[in-house]
Amino acid sequence: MTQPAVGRNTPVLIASSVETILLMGAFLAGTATMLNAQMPNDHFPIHATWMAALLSAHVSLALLSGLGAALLFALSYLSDRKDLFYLSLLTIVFVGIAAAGGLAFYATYNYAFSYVMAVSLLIAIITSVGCVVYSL
Amino acid sequence: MAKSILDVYNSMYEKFSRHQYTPALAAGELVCLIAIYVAGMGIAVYNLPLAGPLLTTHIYAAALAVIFAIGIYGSATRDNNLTLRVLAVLDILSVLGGAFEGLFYFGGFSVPDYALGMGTGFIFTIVFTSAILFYSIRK
Repeated sequence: MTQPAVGRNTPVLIASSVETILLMGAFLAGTATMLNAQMPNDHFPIHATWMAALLSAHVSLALLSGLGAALLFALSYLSDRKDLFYLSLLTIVFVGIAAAGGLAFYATYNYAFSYVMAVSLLIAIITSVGCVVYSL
Repeated sequence: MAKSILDVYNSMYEKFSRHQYTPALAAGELVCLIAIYVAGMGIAVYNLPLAGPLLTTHIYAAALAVIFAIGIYGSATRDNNLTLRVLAVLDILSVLGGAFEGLFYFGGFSVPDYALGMGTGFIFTIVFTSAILFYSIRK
Protein backbone atom coordinates (compact mmCIF):
# COMPACT_ATOMS: atom_id res chain seq x y z
CA MET A 1 0.00 0.00 0.00
CA THR A 2 1.33 3.41 -0.91
CA GLN A 3 0.92 6.15 1.64
CA PRO A 4 -1.10 9.18 0.51
CA ALA A 5 0.88 12.39 0.39
CA VAL A 6 0.26 14.00 3.75
CA GLY A 7 0.92 17.56 4.81
CA ARG A 8 -0.65 20.67 6.27
CA ASN A 9 -3.65 22.10 4.45
CA THR A 10 -4.71 25.22 6.35
CA PRO A 11 -8.09 26.00 4.68
CA VAL A 12 -9.36 22.45 5.19
CA LEU A 13 -7.97 22.44 8.74
CA ILE A 14 -9.89 25.61 9.67
CA ALA A 15 -13.11 24.54 7.93
CA SER A 16 -13.11 21.04 9.46
CA SER A 17 -12.33 22.37 12.96
CA VAL A 18 -15.27 24.78 12.73
CA GLU A 19 -17.45 21.98 11.34
CA THR A 20 -16.52 19.63 14.20
CA ILE A 21 -17.36 22.28 16.84
CA LEU A 22 -20.69 23.07 15.13
CA LEU A 23 -21.62 19.36 14.96
CA MET A 24 -20.74 18.88 18.65
CA GLY A 25 -22.89 21.89 19.55
CA ALA A 26 -25.78 20.57 17.45
CA PHE A 27 -25.45 17.18 19.17
CA LEU A 28 -25.52 18.70 22.67
CA ALA A 29 -28.43 21.06 21.95
CA GLY A 30 -30.41 18.26 20.27
CA THR A 31 -29.76 15.79 23.10
CA ALA A 32 -30.77 18.41 25.68
CA THR A 33 -34.00 19.08 23.75
CA MET A 34 -34.82 15.38 23.46
CA LEU A 35 -34.07 14.51 27.11
CA ASN A 36 -36.01 17.45 28.52
CA ALA A 37 -38.97 16.89 26.18
CA GLN A 38 -39.14 13.12 26.83
CA MET A 39 -38.01 12.68 30.38
CA PRO A 40 -40.84 12.88 32.96
CA ASN A 41 -43.08 10.46 31.02
CA ASP A 42 -43.76 13.18 28.50
CA HIS A 43 -43.51 13.07 24.72
CA PHE A 44 -42.42 15.17 21.85
CA PRO A 45 -44.47 18.15 20.74
CA ILE A 46 -42.75 20.59 23.13
CA HIS A 47 -44.81 23.04 25.16
CA ALA A 48 -42.42 25.23 27.19
CA THR A 49 -40.57 28.36 26.05
CA TRP A 50 -37.16 27.23 27.35
CA MET A 51 -37.49 23.96 25.39
CA ALA A 52 -38.24 26.05 22.30
CA ALA A 53 -35.00 27.96 22.98
CA LEU A 54 -33.05 24.67 23.09
CA LEU A 55 -34.72 23.44 19.91
CA SER A 56 -33.99 26.73 18.13
CA ALA A 57 -30.33 26.47 19.18
CA HIS A 58 -30.25 22.91 17.77
CA VAL A 59 -31.83 23.92 14.45
CA SER A 60 -29.54 26.98 14.08
CA LEU A 61 -26.40 24.96 14.78
CA ALA A 62 -27.58 22.24 12.39
CA LEU A 63 -28.16 24.78 9.63
CA LEU A 64 -24.70 26.31 10.20
CA SER A 65 -23.10 22.83 10.20
CA GLY A 66 -24.81 22.12 6.87
CA LEU A 67 -23.26 25.27 5.40
CA GLY A 68 -19.94 24.33 7.06
CA ALA A 69 -20.06 20.87 5.47
CA ALA A 70 -20.62 22.43 2.03
CA LEU A 71 -17.65 24.79 2.60
CA LEU A 72 -15.49 21.90 3.81
CA PHE A 73 -16.39 19.82 0.75
CA ALA A 74 -15.57 22.70 -1.63
CA LEU A 75 -12.21 23.41 0.06
CA SER A 76 -11.20 19.75 0.12
CA TYR A 77 -12.12 19.45 -3.58
CA LEU A 78 -9.82 22.41 -4.28
CA SER A 79 -7.04 20.89 -2.16
CA ASP A 80 -6.37 18.09 -4.74
CA ARG A 81 -6.07 15.51 -1.97
CA LYS A 82 -7.90 12.22 -2.35
CA ASP A 83 -8.02 11.40 1.39
CA LEU A 84 -9.49 14.79 2.36
CA PHE A 85 -11.94 14.63 -0.57
CA TYR A 86 -13.39 11.27 0.47
CA LEU A 87 -13.58 12.16 4.18
CA SER A 88 -15.39 15.45 3.48
CA LEU A 89 -17.67 13.69 0.97
CA LEU A 90 -18.71 11.28 3.75
CA THR A 91 -19.19 14.26 6.09
CA ILE A 92 -21.51 16.15 3.73
CA VAL A 93 -23.48 12.99 2.83
CA PHE A 94 -24.11 12.08 6.48
CA VAL A 95 -24.89 15.70 7.48
CA GLY A 96 -27.45 15.64 4.63
CA ILE A 97 -28.98 12.37 5.90
CA ALA A 98 -29.12 13.83 9.43
CA ALA A 99 -30.83 17.01 8.16
CA ALA A 100 -33.37 14.99 6.17
CA GLY A 101 -34.01 12.78 9.21
CA GLY A 102 -34.52 15.79 11.45
CA LEU A 103 -36.96 17.47 9.06
CA ALA A 104 -38.88 14.21 8.57
CA PHE A 105 -39.01 13.75 12.37
CA TYR A 106 -40.49 17.18 12.88
CA ALA A 107 -43.02 16.57 10.12
CA THR A 108 -44.20 13.16 11.36
CA TYR A 109 -43.05 12.72 15.03
CA ASN A 110 -41.98 9.21 14.03
CA TYR A 111 -39.12 8.28 16.41
CA ALA A 112 -37.33 6.23 13.72
CA PHE A 113 -36.43 9.46 11.91
CA SER A 114 -35.00 10.88 15.15
CA TYR A 115 -32.87 7.73 15.45
CA VAL A 116 -31.63 8.12 11.85
CA MET A 117 -30.69 11.75 12.65
CA ALA A 118 -28.75 10.69 15.76
CA VAL A 119 -26.76 7.86 14.14
CA SER A 120 -25.81 9.79 10.97
CA LEU A 121 -24.74 12.79 13.11
CA LEU A 122 -22.33 10.45 14.95
CA ILE A 123 -20.79 9.24 11.66
CA ALA A 124 -20.51 12.85 10.41
CA ILE A 125 -18.58 13.83 13.56
CA ILE A 126 -16.14 10.92 13.15
CA THR A 127 -15.38 11.77 9.50
CA SER A 128 -15.13 15.49 10.28
CA VAL A 129 -12.49 14.75 12.96
CA GLY A 130 -10.77 12.64 10.30
CA CYS A 131 -10.59 15.76 8.08
CA VAL A 132 -9.09 17.74 10.98
CA VAL A 133 -6.37 15.17 11.65
CA TYR A 134 -5.52 14.43 8.00
CA SER A 135 -5.16 18.16 7.19
CA LEU A 136 -3.08 18.85 10.32
CA MET B 1 -5.28 -5.37 -9.07
CA ALA B 2 -6.21 -8.85 -7.92
CA LYS B 3 -5.23 -9.03 -4.27
CA SER B 4 -5.22 -12.19 -2.20
CA ILE B 5 -6.74 -12.33 1.26
CA LEU B 6 -3.20 -12.57 2.61
CA ASP B 7 -2.29 -9.23 0.97
CA VAL B 8 -5.36 -7.58 2.52
CA TYR B 9 -4.44 -9.09 5.90
CA ASN B 10 -0.86 -7.88 5.61
CA SER B 11 -1.80 -4.32 4.70
CA MET B 12 -4.38 -4.18 7.54
CA TYR B 13 -1.76 -5.57 9.94
CA GLU B 14 0.77 -3.00 8.75
CA LYS B 15 -1.69 -0.13 9.38
CA PHE B 16 -3.10 -1.26 12.71
CA SER B 17 0.20 -2.27 14.30
CA ARG B 18 1.80 1.16 13.99
CA HIS B 19 2.71 3.04 17.20
CA GLN B 20 2.67 -0.11 19.38
CA TYR B 21 -0.85 -1.13 18.20
CA THR B 22 -2.50 2.21 19.08
CA PRO B 23 -4.72 2.19 15.91
CA ALA B 24 -6.01 -1.31 16.75
CA LEU B 25 -6.95 -0.26 20.29
CA ALA B 26 -8.54 2.98 19.05
CA ALA B 27 -10.56 1.07 16.43
CA GLY B 28 -11.73 -1.33 19.16
CA GLU B 29 -12.79 1.60 21.34
CA LEU B 30 -14.58 3.26 18.42
CA VAL B 31 -16.57 0.05 17.78
CA CYS B 32 -17.52 -0.06 21.49
CA LEU B 33 -18.54 3.62 21.40
CA ILE B 34 -20.77 3.06 18.36
CA ALA B 35 -22.41 0.11 20.16
CA ILE B 36 -22.92 2.33 23.25
CA TYR B 37 -24.50 5.01 21.07
CA VAL B 38 -26.81 2.71 19.10
CA ALA B 39 -28.09 1.05 22.30
CA GLY B 40 -28.25 4.21 24.44
CA MET B 41 -29.91 6.37 21.78
CA GLY B 42 -32.43 3.57 21.22
CA ILE B 43 -33.40 3.84 24.92
CA ALA B 44 -33.47 7.65 24.87
CA VAL B 45 -35.28 8.20 21.57
CA TYR B 46 -37.98 5.60 22.17
CA ASN B 47 -38.19 6.53 25.92
CA LEU B 48 -37.77 2.90 27.06
CA PRO B 49 -37.41 1.80 30.69
CA LEU B 50 -33.88 1.30 32.02
CA ALA B 51 -33.90 -2.48 31.63
CA GLY B 52 -33.41 -5.22 29.08
CA PRO B 53 -30.89 -6.15 26.37
CA LEU B 54 -30.30 -2.59 25.15
CA LEU B 55 -29.22 -1.44 28.62
CA THR B 56 -27.01 -4.54 29.06
CA THR B 57 -25.30 -3.80 25.73
CA HIS B 58 -24.86 -0.16 26.74
CA ILE B 59 -23.24 -0.95 30.12
CA TYR B 60 -20.92 -3.74 28.93
CA ALA B 61 -19.77 -1.73 25.88
CA ALA B 62 -19.11 1.25 28.19
CA ALA B 63 -16.96 -0.89 30.50
CA LEU B 64 -14.99 -2.19 27.48
CA ALA B 65 -14.55 1.38 26.15
CA VAL B 66 -12.98 2.48 29.47
CA ILE B 67 -10.61 -0.51 29.35
CA PHE B 68 -9.63 0.33 25.74
CA ALA B 69 -9.06 4.01 26.69
CA ILE B 70 -6.61 3.02 29.44
CA GLY B 71 -4.96 0.55 27.02
CA ILE B 72 -4.47 3.38 24.50
CA TYR B 73 -2.62 5.38 27.16
CA GLY B 74 -0.40 2.35 27.76
CA SER B 75 0.46 1.84 24.09
CA ALA B 76 1.02 5.60 23.54
CA THR B 77 3.37 5.66 26.53
CA ARG B 78 5.27 2.64 25.23
CA ASP B 79 5.53 4.38 21.85
CA ASN B 80 6.93 7.47 23.63
CA ASN B 81 4.71 9.78 21.56
CA LEU B 82 3.76 12.95 23.46
CA THR B 83 0.84 13.95 21.17
CA LEU B 84 -0.79 10.53 21.47
CA ARG B 85 -0.22 10.49 25.25
CA VAL B 86 -1.93 13.89 25.69
CA LEU B 87 -4.84 12.77 23.49
CA ALA B 88 -5.08 9.51 25.48
CA VAL B 89 -5.23 11.37 28.82
CA LEU B 90 -8.01 13.63 27.46
CA ASP B 91 -9.78 10.49 26.16
CA ILE B 92 -9.60 8.79 29.59
CA LEU B 93 -10.88 11.93 31.37
CA SER B 94 -13.86 12.33 29.02
CA VAL B 95 -14.76 8.62 29.01
CA LEU B 96 -14.66 8.55 32.83
CA GLY B 97 -16.75 11.73 32.97
CA GLY B 98 -19.41 10.14 30.76
CA ALA B 99 -19.23 6.85 32.70
CA PHE B 100 -19.68 8.42 36.13
CA GLU B 101 -22.52 10.70 34.99
CA GLY B 102 -24.16 7.55 33.61
CA LEU B 103 -23.62 5.72 36.91
CA PHE B 104 -25.22 8.57 38.89
CA TYR B 105 -28.13 8.60 36.42
CA PHE B 106 -28.62 4.84 36.64
CA GLY B 107 -28.13 4.92 40.42
CA GLY B 108 -31.25 6.99 40.97
CA PHE B 109 -30.67 10.60 39.95
CA SER B 110 -33.05 10.11 36.99
CA VAL B 111 -33.13 13.75 35.85
CA PRO B 112 -32.18 14.94 32.34
CA ASP B 113 -29.05 16.78 33.59
CA TYR B 114 -27.17 13.55 34.38
CA ALA B 115 -28.18 11.97 31.06
CA LEU B 116 -26.95 15.11 29.29
CA GLY B 117 -23.65 14.88 31.23
CA MET B 118 -23.33 11.32 29.90
CA GLY B 119 -23.88 12.65 26.37
CA THR B 120 -21.31 15.43 26.88
CA GLY B 121 -18.66 12.97 28.05
CA PHE B 122 -19.56 10.69 25.14
CA ILE B 123 -19.21 13.32 22.43
CA PHE B 124 -15.76 14.40 23.67
CA THR B 125 -14.72 10.72 23.86
CA ILE B 126 -15.83 10.18 20.24
CA VAL B 127 -13.80 13.21 19.09
CA PHE B 128 -10.63 12.23 21.00
CA THR B 129 -10.84 8.53 20.05
CA SER B 130 -11.30 9.20 16.34
CA ALA B 131 -8.49 11.81 16.50
CA ILE B 132 -6.22 9.14 18.05
CA LEU B 133 -7.28 6.58 15.41
CA PHE B 134 -6.71 8.84 12.40
CA TYR B 135 -3.53 10.38 13.84
CA SER B 136 -1.89 7.05 14.61
CA ILE B 137 -2.85 5.53 11.23
CA ARG B 138 -1.66 8.59 9.32
CA LYS B 139 1.81 9.10 10.82
